[in-house]
Amino acid sequence: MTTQERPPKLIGEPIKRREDPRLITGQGSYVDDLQPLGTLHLVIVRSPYAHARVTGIDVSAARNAPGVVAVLTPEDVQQSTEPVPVAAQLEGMHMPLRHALTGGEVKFVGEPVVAIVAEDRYLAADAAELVEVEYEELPAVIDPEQALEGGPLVHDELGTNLCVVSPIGDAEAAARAIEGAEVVIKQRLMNQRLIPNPIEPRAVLAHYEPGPGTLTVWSSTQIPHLLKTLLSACARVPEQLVRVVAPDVGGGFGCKLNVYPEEILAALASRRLERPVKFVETRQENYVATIHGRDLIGHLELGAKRDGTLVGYRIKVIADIGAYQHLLTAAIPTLTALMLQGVYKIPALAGEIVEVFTNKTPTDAYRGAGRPEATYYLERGMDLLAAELGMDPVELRRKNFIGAGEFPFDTQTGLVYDSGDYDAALDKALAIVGYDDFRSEQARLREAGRYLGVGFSTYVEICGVGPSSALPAGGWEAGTVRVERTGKVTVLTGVSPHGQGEETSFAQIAAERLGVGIEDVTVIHGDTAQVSAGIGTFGSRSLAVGGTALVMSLDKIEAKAKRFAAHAMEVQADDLEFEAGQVFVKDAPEKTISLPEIATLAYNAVDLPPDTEPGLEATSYYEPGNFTFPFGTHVAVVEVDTDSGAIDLQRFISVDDCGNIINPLIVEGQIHGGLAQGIAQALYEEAVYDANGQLLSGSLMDYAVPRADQLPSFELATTVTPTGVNPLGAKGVGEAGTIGSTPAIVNAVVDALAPLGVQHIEMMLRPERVLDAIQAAKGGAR
Amino acid sequence: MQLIGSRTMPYARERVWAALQDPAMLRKTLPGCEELTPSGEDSFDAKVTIGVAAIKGRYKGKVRLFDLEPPRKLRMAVEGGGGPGRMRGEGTVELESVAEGTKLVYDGEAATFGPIARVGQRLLRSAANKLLGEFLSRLEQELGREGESERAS
Amino acid sequence: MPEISVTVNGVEHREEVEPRLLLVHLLRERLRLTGTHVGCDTSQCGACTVVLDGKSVKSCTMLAVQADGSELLTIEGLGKDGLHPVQQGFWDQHGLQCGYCTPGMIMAAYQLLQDDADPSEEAIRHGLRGNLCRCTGYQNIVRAVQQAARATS
Repeated sequence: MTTQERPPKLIGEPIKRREDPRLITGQGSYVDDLQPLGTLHLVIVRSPYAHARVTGIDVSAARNAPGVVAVLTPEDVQQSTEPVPVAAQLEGMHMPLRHALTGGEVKFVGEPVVAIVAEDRYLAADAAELVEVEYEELPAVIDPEQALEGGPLVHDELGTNLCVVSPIGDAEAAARAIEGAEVVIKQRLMNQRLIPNPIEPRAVLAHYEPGPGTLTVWSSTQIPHLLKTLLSACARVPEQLVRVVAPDVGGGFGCKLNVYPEEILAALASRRLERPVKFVETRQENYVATIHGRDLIGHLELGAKRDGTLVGYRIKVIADIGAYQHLLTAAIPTLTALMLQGVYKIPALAGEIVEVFTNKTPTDAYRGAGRPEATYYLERGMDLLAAELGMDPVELRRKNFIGAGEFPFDTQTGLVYDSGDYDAALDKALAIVGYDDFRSEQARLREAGRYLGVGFSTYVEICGVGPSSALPAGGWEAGTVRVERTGKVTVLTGVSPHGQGEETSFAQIAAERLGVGIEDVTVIHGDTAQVSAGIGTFGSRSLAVGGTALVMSLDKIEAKAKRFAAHAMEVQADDLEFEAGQVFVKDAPEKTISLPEIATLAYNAVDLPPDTEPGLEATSYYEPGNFTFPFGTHVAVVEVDTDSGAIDLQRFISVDDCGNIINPLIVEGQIHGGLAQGIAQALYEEAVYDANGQLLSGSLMDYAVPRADQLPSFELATTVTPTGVNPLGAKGVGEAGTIGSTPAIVNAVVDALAPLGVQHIEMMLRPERVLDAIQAAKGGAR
Repeated sequence: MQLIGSRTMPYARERVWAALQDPAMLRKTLPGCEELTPSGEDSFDAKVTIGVAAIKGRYKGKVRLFDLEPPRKLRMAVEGGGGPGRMRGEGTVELESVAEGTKLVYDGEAATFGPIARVGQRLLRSAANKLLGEFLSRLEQELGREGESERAS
Repeated sequence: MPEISVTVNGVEHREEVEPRLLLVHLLRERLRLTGTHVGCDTSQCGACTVVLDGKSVKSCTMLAVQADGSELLTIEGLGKDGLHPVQQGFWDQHGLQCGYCTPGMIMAAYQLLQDDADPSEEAIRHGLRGNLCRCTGYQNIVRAVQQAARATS
């Protein structure tokens, strides 16, 4: 190593993304960009009703329409495929199954009834208009609380709209603690339904080739390997003949962590017609046919002593899961349950999660998935408690924090928090916002009739998902490192990035460890024919779990390279050090052998070390021993116009701790995007249904995904508390922004309006609700 | 979605009343109406093509008139559907003799289902009002033309 | 079928098109320029933004026949001779994640800078409000456009 310049440090550096050159020049390859010769287009006829009996389907006109190659009906599909898969199966849960097309009773607007396959998308859409479906409308139930109280039944055969009840914690202890508490606050808190809205709608292209009998499916999915297994079952093609490719995927946010009816239909149609079949969702279809997120009502009770010490927390959560379970639907609210305790010491805690069927689009994982709800309830609860006690919300939080010296920390919900320093993040945030100065400025402006507010959210989340015992399909991840004959490096990973930048961050890790240039490393993902196994990208797991599998493989490469080097240099492997692509002798560092030289030895294999196979490739499966628990403090500063109800978000400060950072550029980007979505839940987004179960906010015209001029520039900082769970010390950052930010905004708005007597406003905080809250506080309706 | 409005026409109440129940007249005046055939007492089957924005498409529907109080008041139920979705509505039409002729007052409530329900109620209301306005203008025109031809003959 | 002539990225194309063919489908499916994306059906998202005769337009709300005789610039034409400063800005500033909105966003930003070489942050945010990004929170997109403005001024 003395003779050679040390290669540049890569881990921890803001390396520009290697994905970008293709994406900024229009050379990306998303599913709809693939246009194999002879591709047919599939279009779906969907239920316009929230609940109806299908009494007749007439497809004769559609079958004879120009360009139509096939028409799939429910009866046909039910005989030829398996039901849409549900992986998350909780104890005692009702699980009504549906097929890719529904014939008997449709149970939500947008449910697929008939599929048309035609020569192009225009002709398919024309033919879809000719399909005549007769419906007998049935009473629909839209409100989950009404659904529990004897509203119309979504699924008659169940005799109830209750899907499952999951208790957590010690209900008796929590009840006693709250009964004996000096102060108790009670509040109903709505965490409204959201629509994920990746800018690329869902798309799938299935191509069955009769010769080899293979089915290749290109899908805009976050989970190519799981999709391969599940689709093989659904479409009845043996798994070893199915290949799933996730090419460039235009965002997922959880909604592409699923198996959808259209994927099954495209596979079936291609198998039948022996031609490529493509389905591309329209945005309006996306609003009703792709899963929604959140929609949890929390009934919270928080008990404390007069001095602010928390004594007990009890919450009943009603989760409106829509008409059916999707892949992980039922498991998402249980993540809320797991994270109820947040960053605080709470001696007694209990939750009850009640999942309910309604005639709406099913819910499932949407960025944050269960944790934003938990954080919202507790962080709103803390502000309500602070107001009740007349205590500063920062002081109240700090008083109850789990201390930096108390980790690993056992929660009342059965988790073990790995590491944390909640005070450090809070201190940093307070310094950035200039808290004391803000409070005096706030008081001064109030005199002048201006209403500024500051809101805090101190959060912890559960990431690095996760130990296999916690996931229905396993929580491990796989990674392969192959040093090619020329010394170039191929990394294969089972995670399936769709914006998260692992082609860059994983290359940084591999290149630094092996001492090659980053340009000598290629990261391959999202193709089950190339990557032998994997789970996918969700739950902020890619680096913490997938990255660890990569590190394990790098360790194996290092060990094997040492054996080759020791053999060639005639020394003991134990006497060798591996650093930066060179293997050198500890006591004689001038004696080195390079990685390409070792690769040549490994592949030429003319003089193999004893008990050593040729080749220089290693695969590892990493099974995480625990989750990871990133944390931080988010602060919002707002001004509320009490005449119009408009909220001006003036500052947003985000101090996040995701453990060790591989690429700060990517971490910053993940936080920005998460904040945008979390802030939007507080201020802009809400899925609104009418009494008939029609989605009124059913297009981008009426559902307000925030635009560039609706968000401020965020002020970011980090603290670094590595985790001991994995060798990278990395915790994950994909969802943090979404999890922490929402309550900070609501807390800030309520803080601004506190002098007027406002105690709470339900999300999203549209001006009309703000004005109503001001009026109600004044003691009268508007 | 509520639809309320009125129109005053320079014709006798009995003539307007008769026009509202005359399939031939309705076929001529309903915007985009391709077929209108009686399907029973005071009921019609209709095929309509609408060319307005997000509700563009071909629709099939049923119209039923009931609680008739000639020539003063009737109630109407409409139900139909097509590519862009379905609708169902019910309303009251009242005819009042006024100095200028007849004042037609309508007041109805319609519900929409499927894609048309998702495109936004503001858009829908203005589209529905535009179509209703067109219908009434054409009805007035046709009644005028009828009057002229009667005079000519 | 009408025949149209369009110049795309400096190359002239004559194409017979159905009157209802959208411009974006002409680009993507006929000319195989798949860099221009489709993200919605109500012209809200801007993923399909291209520059047509010096104006940024949403190619999913235009018919191909309406582009007859026009000059179009798409993402594929922008980076023909090495990265354009706007593209460089997006790369340097991490102005994209999934990349799906990016071509439309870059074309909108390109035209924004053609119209105003030195925009304020507010002007950039306002100028890009027709383009949705779900990944970045826009902050790095703003930085990318600011970098491009500095590079071209």
